[in-house]
Amino acid sequence: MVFERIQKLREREFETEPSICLERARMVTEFYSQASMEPFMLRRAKFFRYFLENKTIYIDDEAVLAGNQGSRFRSCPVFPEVTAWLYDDVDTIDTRTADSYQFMPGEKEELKKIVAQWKGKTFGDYTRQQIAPEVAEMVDIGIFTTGSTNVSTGSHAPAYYDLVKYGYRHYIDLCKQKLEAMEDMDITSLEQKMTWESMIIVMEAIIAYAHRYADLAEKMAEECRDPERKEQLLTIAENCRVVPENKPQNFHQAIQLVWFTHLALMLEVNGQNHCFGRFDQYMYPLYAQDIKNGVSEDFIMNLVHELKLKCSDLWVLRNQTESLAYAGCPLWMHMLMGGMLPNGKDGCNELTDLILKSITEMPTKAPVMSFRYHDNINRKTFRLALEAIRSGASQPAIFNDNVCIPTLLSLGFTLKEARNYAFCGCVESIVPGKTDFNANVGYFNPVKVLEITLNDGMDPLTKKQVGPHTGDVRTFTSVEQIMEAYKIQEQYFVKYFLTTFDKIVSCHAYMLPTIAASCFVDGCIDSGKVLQQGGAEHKYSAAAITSIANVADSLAAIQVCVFDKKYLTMAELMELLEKDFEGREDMRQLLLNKAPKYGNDIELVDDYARWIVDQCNEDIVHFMDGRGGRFTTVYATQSYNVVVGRLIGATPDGRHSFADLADNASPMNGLDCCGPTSVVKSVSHLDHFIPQNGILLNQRFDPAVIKGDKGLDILESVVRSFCNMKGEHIQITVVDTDTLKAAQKDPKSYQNILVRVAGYSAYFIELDKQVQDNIITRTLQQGL
Amino acid sequence: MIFNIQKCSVHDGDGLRTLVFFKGCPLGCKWCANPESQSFQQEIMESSAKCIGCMRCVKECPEKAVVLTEAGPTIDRKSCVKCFHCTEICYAGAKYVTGKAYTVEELFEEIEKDRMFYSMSSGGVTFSGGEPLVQAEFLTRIAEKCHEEGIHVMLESCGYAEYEKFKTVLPFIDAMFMDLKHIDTEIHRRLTGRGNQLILDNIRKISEFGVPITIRTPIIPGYNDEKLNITGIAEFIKTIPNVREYELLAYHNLGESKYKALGRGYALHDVRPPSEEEMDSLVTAAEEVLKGSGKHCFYIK
Repeated sequence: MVFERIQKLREREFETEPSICLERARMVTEFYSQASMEPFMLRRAKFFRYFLENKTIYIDDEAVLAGNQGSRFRSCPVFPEVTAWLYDDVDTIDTRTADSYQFMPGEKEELKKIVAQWKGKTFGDYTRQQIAPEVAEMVDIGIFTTGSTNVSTGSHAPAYYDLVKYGYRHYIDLCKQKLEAMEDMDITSLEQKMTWESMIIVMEAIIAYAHRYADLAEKMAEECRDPERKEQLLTIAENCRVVPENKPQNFHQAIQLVWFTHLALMLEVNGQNHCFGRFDQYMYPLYAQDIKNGVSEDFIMNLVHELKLKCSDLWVLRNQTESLAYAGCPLWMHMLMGGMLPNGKDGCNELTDLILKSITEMPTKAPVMSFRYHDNINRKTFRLALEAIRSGASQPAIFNDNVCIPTLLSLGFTLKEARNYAFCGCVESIVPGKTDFNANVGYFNPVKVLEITLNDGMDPLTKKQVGPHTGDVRTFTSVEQIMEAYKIQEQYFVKYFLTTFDKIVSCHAYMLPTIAASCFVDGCIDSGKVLQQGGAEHKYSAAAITSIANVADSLAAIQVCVFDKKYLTMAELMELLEKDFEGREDMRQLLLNKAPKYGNDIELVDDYARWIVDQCNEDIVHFMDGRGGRFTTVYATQSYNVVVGRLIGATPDGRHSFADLADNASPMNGLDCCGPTSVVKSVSHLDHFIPQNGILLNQRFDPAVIKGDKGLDILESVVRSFCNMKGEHIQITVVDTDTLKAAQKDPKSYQNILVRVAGYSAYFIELDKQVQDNIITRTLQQGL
Repeated sequence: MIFNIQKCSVHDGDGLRTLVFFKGCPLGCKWCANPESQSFQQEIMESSAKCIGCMRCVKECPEKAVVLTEAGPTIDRKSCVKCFHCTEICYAGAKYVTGKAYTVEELFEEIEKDRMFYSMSSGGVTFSGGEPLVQAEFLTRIAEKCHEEGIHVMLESCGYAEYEKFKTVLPFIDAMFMDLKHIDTEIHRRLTGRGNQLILDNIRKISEFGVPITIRTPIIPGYNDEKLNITGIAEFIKTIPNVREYELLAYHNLGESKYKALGRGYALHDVRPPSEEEMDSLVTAAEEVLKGSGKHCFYIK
């Protein structure tokens, strides 16, 4: 049962427009104006301490958890020292169509002044200087994006399983021991010394920040006349004295510790993608102990609800393009349930069930709820997960142990570590507390590369010769020749794509360390290096590959229509594409209808999809990233398929110029017409073991098809079959088209419809119209 | 001859199933929702919604049988000689062929694609139509193949076929749906073109052979929805040992557009689907008859 206080908090979420909080921007500008010769690492740590000492704190009237990101409910902090684009975008933050934020009176002008002071001197400016002019051109054309340029690195899950056992003091002591053990100093050990000192400063600062909340709660309790509320406030005070410094004594304190830690990662830098790992596992001992001591399930359930609402009130300010590409302000905070234990047995427990029920009871856009499937999964728990999906929450996403564990073994983890995996980003597997992952390499766009290939290395829209000459396709006599040419183009662009990332990721080590996050990842304290300096035991970065469906469909259309059945020549095809099929709708229909499309379980075209996955991966994985990590691939788009579609002309699959591309690794919208089993077959035709960081499949079901017990059986069969055929990930939105269209017309009445965009859910009404339309055109799997 | 293969079907048998529709039917029910299932030959269907107005069909038809009407280019079915040229040149798929000949191997390959889903859901294949039993030789071969390969086989039939010819298929059938539209043979003849004696005999024989049967009656208001018909069928069912369930199906008019697509008229313009109350009362009447027999009647909303 959702408590009244939680209900109130949730209603306020819908009622309050997000706004910009200037507090941090002011403080960072003020702090960095003060003269200092201190090394950058210590200076970052001290600024963070200064910020936590002075930022506004408050406790919501209904809350029993303390800690907020902004100085007000639903307010988004600004990082003027990090984001170079802010100078250009500041004017439209409150007027843009996607993820807009309101300003408090006068604060827009103030922000402009602040931003002007940082102009040309931000982190983003420095990373921009690393990008060669020819690379900037490739980005403009839409071949790839450059990730991590205006944002700190995130993509990890702290060692929460240890944190709830020890508290921060244990980690501070570890740093102190390291400092005490230091003997002679040289330039390397000085770097280590500064790192350990910075870590201590940061951890002490978070503890002191918690104590500020304890003081506030005590003060509020003194003034409170409602005895029940007074009791709650005193509990908050007590909890904030105990955690995060010490080991939590109960579930409430543990969840407070997790929240303070998560919040600290969000406050320190403008990161995203900080994950909770296997929440149902590390919290279980405290849950079991509390239940034994007579704490009610309802109380625990509502603590979980409150944490979910807290997560829904976290923000990262993005520029115009990214706001559209990452529609709905996702932060990819995965909270993982289910899966096998390190010993290979099923890990489902009563807390797993409770959290799954909490999704059905009160769905929220964050955190991202995920569920690990394996062959011996507890069926009752698995069906609870499916029920949550069916309830319209669009969560949890289902991940497959059968695929993820072997891929993690191939990344060098031990079997027990691999079995303990969790998620970051959209669908990327990591081992919590042991991995420094980067989900933000950028998007590589094979559809654009194909377009350039078809034009002998020239971008047909800008007429620039960006790639090498690989031949006039009008003279080609087979698809294989096109694929060979594609390979050469791809390898050419991949090199620029990855080496640019290497430069950018190196900047992070000297400008934008995540010191708090480094404290809780194995290897960093030991080596005296933060994550950005390569401190973690395991590190890798995933390059995202977009919209493989359009490449597969295009190659199949060329094979069938040009070379096999000879409906037209390559020269005629190129003319059609150049003119966007103008006056030749019949030929566009030919390409659409006479050639098979990915998503219908037809081997001819699915083989091309399989090829492109393999080819992209092969061209990428032999590079090493700038901090000595490996590269992996992930086949996902977020809603970038809408943005980048606007940069690509007509394609041989019959797609018009500038139209949306296919989302993620899903079939092209509307072109999968044989039902969900065929989609699942096509997607599992890809080799899911090859991209070590996953393949993202979105499916939308008509609620009418999966109603009742039989409906749940259908859902279960589809998901189980997908997992048995070694698919990595499937996520399902359950809502019909009429409802989505009604929500577009009357948003107020449909505030709580959650849809799956990519590796995250968003409230449908909060999305930009273009993204809404894209989701509506995704094929709805109906009753057959 | 097959006119459709439909994956991931949930309404005709347990679990997730592939439905294989045989083309051609000895009955001619006025309400048939799949009029393309009636003829044993390939036919041309038309969809004006898909037409892009390129006019190639009008220009190229060797018989000049495609004429421009208000609804766009339309086949004059009297002049059409079914050369299928228009379907080949219609890239938009507005004119298309229904009906395709398969070899047993080709058909099995298509059925086997969803094997994983059958095993996960206790599903399988359902042969439907048209009337699969009148293509007994081919049906036996494909059913035998599926059975041998461990795929659950169901059959949906109107029951109008020669037992001696189709009995070869029965060893490979796990369960059947059999339609019974009316218990009165004369009314049955009026509605479907044939009397029901052969059908009743076949139901009895198939039951004796040992195949579990579900009897189905589509409820068509004004045609066969009298209570006496339903109770009459229920009385018959009581005498058949291997019939466990009696399912009533509510008439729907989703097939109407297909008549247009085939250039044919639709006789049931004015018929509306039966109300839930009407369906409930028919189910209750049948249940009354079946009480104590271990059989029951139901319908799915």
